[in-house]
Amino acid sequence: MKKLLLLFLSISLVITLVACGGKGTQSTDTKPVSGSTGTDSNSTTTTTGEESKLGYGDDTSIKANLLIWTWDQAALESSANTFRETYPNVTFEFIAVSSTDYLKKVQTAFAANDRLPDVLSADGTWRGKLYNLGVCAYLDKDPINYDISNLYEYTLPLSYDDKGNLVGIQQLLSPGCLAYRADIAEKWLGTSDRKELEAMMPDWDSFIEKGKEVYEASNGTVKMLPGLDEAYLIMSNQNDAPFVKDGALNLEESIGEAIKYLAQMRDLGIVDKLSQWSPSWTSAYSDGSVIFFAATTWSIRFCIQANDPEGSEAGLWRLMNTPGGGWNYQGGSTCLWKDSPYLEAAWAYVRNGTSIERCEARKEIYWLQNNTKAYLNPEYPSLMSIKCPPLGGQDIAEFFIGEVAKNTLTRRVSSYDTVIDDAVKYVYQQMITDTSIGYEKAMELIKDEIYSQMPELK
Amino acid sequence: MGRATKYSFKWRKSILPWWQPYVFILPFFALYFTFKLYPVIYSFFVSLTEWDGITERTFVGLENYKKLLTDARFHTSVKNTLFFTVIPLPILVIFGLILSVLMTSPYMRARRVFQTIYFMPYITSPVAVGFIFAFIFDIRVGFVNRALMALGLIEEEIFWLGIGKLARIVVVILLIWKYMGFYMVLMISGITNISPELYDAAYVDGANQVQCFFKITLPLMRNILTFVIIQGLIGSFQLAEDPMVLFTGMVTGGSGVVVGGPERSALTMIWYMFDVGFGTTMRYGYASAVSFAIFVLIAVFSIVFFILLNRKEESV
Repeated sequence: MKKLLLLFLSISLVITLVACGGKGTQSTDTKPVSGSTGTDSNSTTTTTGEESKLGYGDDTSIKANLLIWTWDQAALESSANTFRETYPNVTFEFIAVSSTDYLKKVQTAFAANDRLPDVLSADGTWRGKLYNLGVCAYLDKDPINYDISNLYEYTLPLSYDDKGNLVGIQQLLSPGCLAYRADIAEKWLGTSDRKELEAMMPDWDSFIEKGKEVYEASNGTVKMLPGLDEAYLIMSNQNDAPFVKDGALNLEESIGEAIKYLAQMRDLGIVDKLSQWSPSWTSAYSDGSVIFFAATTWSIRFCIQANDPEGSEAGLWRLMNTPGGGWNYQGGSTCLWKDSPYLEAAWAYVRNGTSIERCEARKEIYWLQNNTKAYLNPEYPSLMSIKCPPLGGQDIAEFFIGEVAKNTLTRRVSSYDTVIDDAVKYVYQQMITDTSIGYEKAMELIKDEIYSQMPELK
Repeated sequence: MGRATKYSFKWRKSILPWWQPYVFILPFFALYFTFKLYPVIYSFFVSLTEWDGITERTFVGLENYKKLLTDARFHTSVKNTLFFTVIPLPILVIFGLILSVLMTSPYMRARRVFQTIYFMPYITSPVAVGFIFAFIFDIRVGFVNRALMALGLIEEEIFWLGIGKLARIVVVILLIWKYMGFYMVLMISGITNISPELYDAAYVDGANQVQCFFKITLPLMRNILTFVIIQGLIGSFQLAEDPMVLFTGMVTGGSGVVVGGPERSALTMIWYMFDVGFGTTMRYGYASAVSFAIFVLIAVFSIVFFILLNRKEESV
């Protein structure tokens, strides 16, 4: 009996070991990644040419289970529900991945031959890296053949990889501008009228001059911008010169002017020391210590309304053109995994992101989609004018589409962006408190930092 | 020889085949090899290559290790790690010991309540801790600056999280606040193992509390102190989570986030390894080399301290 019991226990242990070894997170390309519910459904990705004359992605009977990694699940779930009204056989599987971990997760999944999401997001300074990983489908080639005339011209440099292939679509329009509270501008600048302010400060030199006046009038308690990081964010993106040209660093042309202005603003004390998204930066929206903030479509909701509910409720905020011209304020791209088993359905979903229906839905939260035919077009009367109550009824369609998007410059994304951005931040953060770092020293430090990470650029 | 009974050696041998014990220990070793040993060996091979996880691996031999010798950022991370070891660790050990003595004192009321309060920071989520400290030390709305200004100790706000030297102080305060309770609990376990009869005998002989502490408590806590110091050393060398959350979360982050905090003053070795492999650059090979360098440093320091601490015991 004991012998049988011992034998049984030994076999159980071995079976347990084998079973544990079989349960891994490795999966084939057709299996869902770990963490998903595994509801892989049957799918037909295309209709045959002989049976249908539908374009690629037009077959609404298509079946698919799309896997999407996202840091904004709520927004995508809402768009997925709308999409399913037209494509009822497409189901969605969302996995929350933070923006900071997104590229790492894609990289490790790819290295492990794991399944990637059918729809990928790309954002921030790592956008170029994702584009050049070699995992994205080419949207301007067969079978997709996307017509880029649908996209605003300033968003195109954000859409290509280093080899010139169209791999991403910026669905959300995010042309940059400045936001200010009318009462605070009135108090320190004498007017809250946007046109008058724009005429008063058409460039950064005049902005700095006005900043000096405000500094003296307020005894240094009121600043023009919250911090050097926000100032750099704006000024560096008003220039479309590449960071790297012909294999060598091109800093003087791309960010040289921005660094000069940073040093100047710091020396004059017209910029505060607040880091973006810090508690003090958040409270600056309502405490009157800062006049101007970087702004765009999505920041109306996430920054202005979130950080100054009372001011938004009273309609005190306004948007104005940035001195020196327009610039792109983030806004991510959407890409497709080139080896997706549901490529057609994924394309249909992504394409839907810039449809007229999506434009209609998104205007409720003051977001504008990247569709050149949607806004200020008499064919779509509801998108001709979008009044925004937090901005005192300012028409954001007229402002962003009619003005800002037309004079916005955008630098082409590259795989160097993360390293260069980190190096610049490392230096301008020191510039905040170390007044000995002027333009020359800053540029030298930035180059040293970049070369230490990427010596091939020397 | 007598007749074999079920308790005789000959009978036992027949029901215990030679392979049976190995089957019982096989699951542990199989799991250990699969999830612990194999990744370490594989990581060493990766460290001999240049690989970004996407393109093909290129064998480069010891080039990655040679790069470490001249990598200024790696040297910065080593200096920072040593700073975060040398400063907080003695404070944690000394004050952890003092707290543990207080908590085990018969005169201490509500001991369990205080033990729980001191231990709670250790079990708080690192993300929450990062948020708390980022708020407390914020330049404008932070409690610390507001309190210092209200007391008249400063006239202008201190940029705690924006200046390298001050950022290091914040990290040290965070580490002490977070781990004090843990060290206290470890020491309490050592103190409670000391027989109270020794103290009774000492009191009878006229010893006071201080003499008992130095003559009885400390010597008998040598083993637990050795364990705590070595364990603290290893933990300090592996520090990454706490400064990372403090300086890369949404509270202190946003567009101004710098890897390693202001002036890279909080960049530790593990953080640097993570950044090289999965952050600013995607260099698995070099990151693996960094991880092996860290392993060697931890091993060397641990062995040295272990020998030093045990040598003192042997001489006694």
